[in-house]
Amino acid sequence: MYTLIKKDEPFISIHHLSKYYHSGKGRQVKAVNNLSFDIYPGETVGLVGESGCGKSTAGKTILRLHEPTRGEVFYKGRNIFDLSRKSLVGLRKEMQIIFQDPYSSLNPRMTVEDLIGEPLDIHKTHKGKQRKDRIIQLLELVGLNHDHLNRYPHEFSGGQRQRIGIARALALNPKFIVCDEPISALDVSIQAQIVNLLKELQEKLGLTYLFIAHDLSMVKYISDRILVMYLGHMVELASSEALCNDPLHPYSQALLSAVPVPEPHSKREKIELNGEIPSPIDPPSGCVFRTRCKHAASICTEKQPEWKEVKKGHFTACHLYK
Amino acid sequence: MKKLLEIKDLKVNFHTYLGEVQAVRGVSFHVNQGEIVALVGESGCGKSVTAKSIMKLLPTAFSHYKSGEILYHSMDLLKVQEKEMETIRGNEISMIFQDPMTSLNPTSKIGEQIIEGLMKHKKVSKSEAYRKAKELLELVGIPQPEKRMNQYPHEFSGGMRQRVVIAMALVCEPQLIIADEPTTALDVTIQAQILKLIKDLQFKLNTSVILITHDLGVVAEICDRVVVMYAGEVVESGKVEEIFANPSHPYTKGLMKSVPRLDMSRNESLYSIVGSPPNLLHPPNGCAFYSRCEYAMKVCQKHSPNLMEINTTQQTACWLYHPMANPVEKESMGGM
Ligand SMILES: Nc1ncnc2c1ncn2[C@@H]1O[C@H](COP(=O)(O)OP(=O)(O)OP(=O)(O)O)[C@@H](O)[C@H]1O
Ligand SMILES: Nc1ncnc2c1ncn2[C@@H]1O[C@H](COP(=O)(O)OP(=O)(O)OP(=O)(O)O)[C@@H](O)[C@H]1O
Ligand SMILES: [Mg+2]
Ligand SMILES: [Mg+2]
Repeated sequence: MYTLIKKDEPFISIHHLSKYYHSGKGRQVKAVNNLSFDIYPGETVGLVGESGCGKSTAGKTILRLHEPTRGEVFYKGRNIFDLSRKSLVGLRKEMQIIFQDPYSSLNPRMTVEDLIGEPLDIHKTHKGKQRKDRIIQLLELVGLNHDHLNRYPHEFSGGQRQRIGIARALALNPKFIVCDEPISALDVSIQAQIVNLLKELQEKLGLTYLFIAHDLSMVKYISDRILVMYLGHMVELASSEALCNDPLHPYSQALLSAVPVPEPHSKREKIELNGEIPSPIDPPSGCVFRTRCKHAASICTEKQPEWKEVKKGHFTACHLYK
Repeated sequence: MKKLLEIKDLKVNFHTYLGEVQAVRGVSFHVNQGEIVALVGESGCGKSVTAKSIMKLLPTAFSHYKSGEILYHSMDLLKVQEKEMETIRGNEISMIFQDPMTSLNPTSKIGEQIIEGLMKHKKVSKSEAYRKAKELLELVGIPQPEKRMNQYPHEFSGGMRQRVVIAMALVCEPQLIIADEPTTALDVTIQAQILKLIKDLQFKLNTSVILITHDLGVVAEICDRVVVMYAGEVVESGKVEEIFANPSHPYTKGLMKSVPRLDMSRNESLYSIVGSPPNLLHPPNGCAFYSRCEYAMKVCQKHSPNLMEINTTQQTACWLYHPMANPVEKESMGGM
């Protein structure tokens, strides 16, 4: 049985986090705006939203792989953006990321043994035979084996490379992992294996995850709570059941209806989103979703909707809810 | 219906210092004009290698075609000279790669890359190419295309890069599009738009599409036929309705069961096929699925089954469907 260890103290606390990129000619890409939420110990928070809405940026900034434009991230009571480079090294051991792109995230000139061994070497945790054993153990954990030790990334299929990335992230026994679409490149049967694996590891090792994905059926399955983002903003946060059974925000509703169903000739209606996705360089005034929202009214142009708790533990930012 | 592409007994090996990796081991299937065919199967089963073979894009130094024919309009692409292949690629057959970064040049602006492709294949003026490039970016849902054309690939999110790659593949309105997991990096609302775009092209221009995907929802939504691969071989093929309503190969059945559904409870463990596929350095003599199959019989370990007809449209490579197979064993398949 999968239990939720929801202690009162958040494990990671994100406060008004924003990240803007500079993009030539003095323009700014407002990739992440004013993100605030908590992640509890042993919990999995799913993060979903349209391509380009800032999910990877949020994940990387929370780990301080990017410096923020504004905001704080508290881990063990300390703002990680105040940490010195040296304390940051210690933090890296506890917080890991599985990258979205299994191609560019693996150095093509390193063998699998070196790729997985690298974090062990950097942090000097395992040497010699111990190191090799640990690498083989990690390979087996993700469904590969010692035959693969001396092979290079290009000799693997997309799914196999992603598993190498997962083994790397697990190498140092982290406590928190940002999983940036770790299963998007995998076929369903391996997706199931990896998700079962991540859940099993979570139970065994008490891991906490931020799980970024766009496949809602899988996100729902692995997450305790789901956060929906649109154009750099939070639009809805709720338990995964509440979000999937009773989505409040019109964007979440469209997102759910667009999940393809594995049934030929299914008659299910899709809510089609009209208009193009606005650019984060020049986002719409008021509610960022209003240009594609069928409920949009004049207030939506004028005023940014507040983040409010509409039902217990169910938050959204939309003028439809008073 | 006219066959546009027919692959016959394709075998592809890679040379590695450990030995020959038999990535594709006798694959045969066809694609009719105006048809969308799904190519599905476990990671590493040879889908991308098959796709790259059609485009003749495999690295010649490390790989070779051991046997087979790839007939495109009855011309064997495996016998075509590289020079001729260059005009086929992009103009007649184009490929959308699984990894968008391989098709984009990181050092050149997005706009320049599309314009270059247009000028090369379409022989249009620079200003015409600029206008068309902008149109294509709009078509695939990139906002503010004029600004975006001035940016470099790394300034785009994963999904946006993929949309650019799709735009580039559509430049010449090819007859066959090979799309290798084109929507894997995209969220569902954009995926729905891209799938509609592919469907529209098929309808308007009678384009044929080979769609490689692991999302069975996508398969159900837009494909006409499905080819299922396992360990470098085709194990089943049939019309999409047949594969979903009546999957026959035990691997296909397992695949169907692994699909997560929105109505599933979080406390259930997801079904997954136990074990892992065979090492393609030393593939087994018998059925490649033998070690993971719940219905394995003696014959399966020794002899590899050929494709057998279940009906005129559905075929499967499984001894259970041999006319002489024990009917009791067939019966037990129903309970899966
Ligand atoms: N290094 C960068 N420089 C400039 N802009 C960037 C950079 N990285 C990302 N962006 C922009 O920031 C926005 C958010 O990108 P991000 O990669 O976080 O999106 P995402 O939600 O992870 O998308 P996807 O689902 O496609 O991976 C996008 O508009 C993207 O173009
Ligand atoms: N350059 C290479 N050298 C050696 N082996 C290779 C090479 N390229 C691919 N392979 C092997 O060939 C097999 C087929 O790979 P392919 O990329 O076609 O798989 P796939 O079905 O596309 O998988 P995925 O769904 O993960 O993308 C794999 O076992 C892979 O390890
Ligand atoms: Mg991303
Ligand atoms: Mg592939």
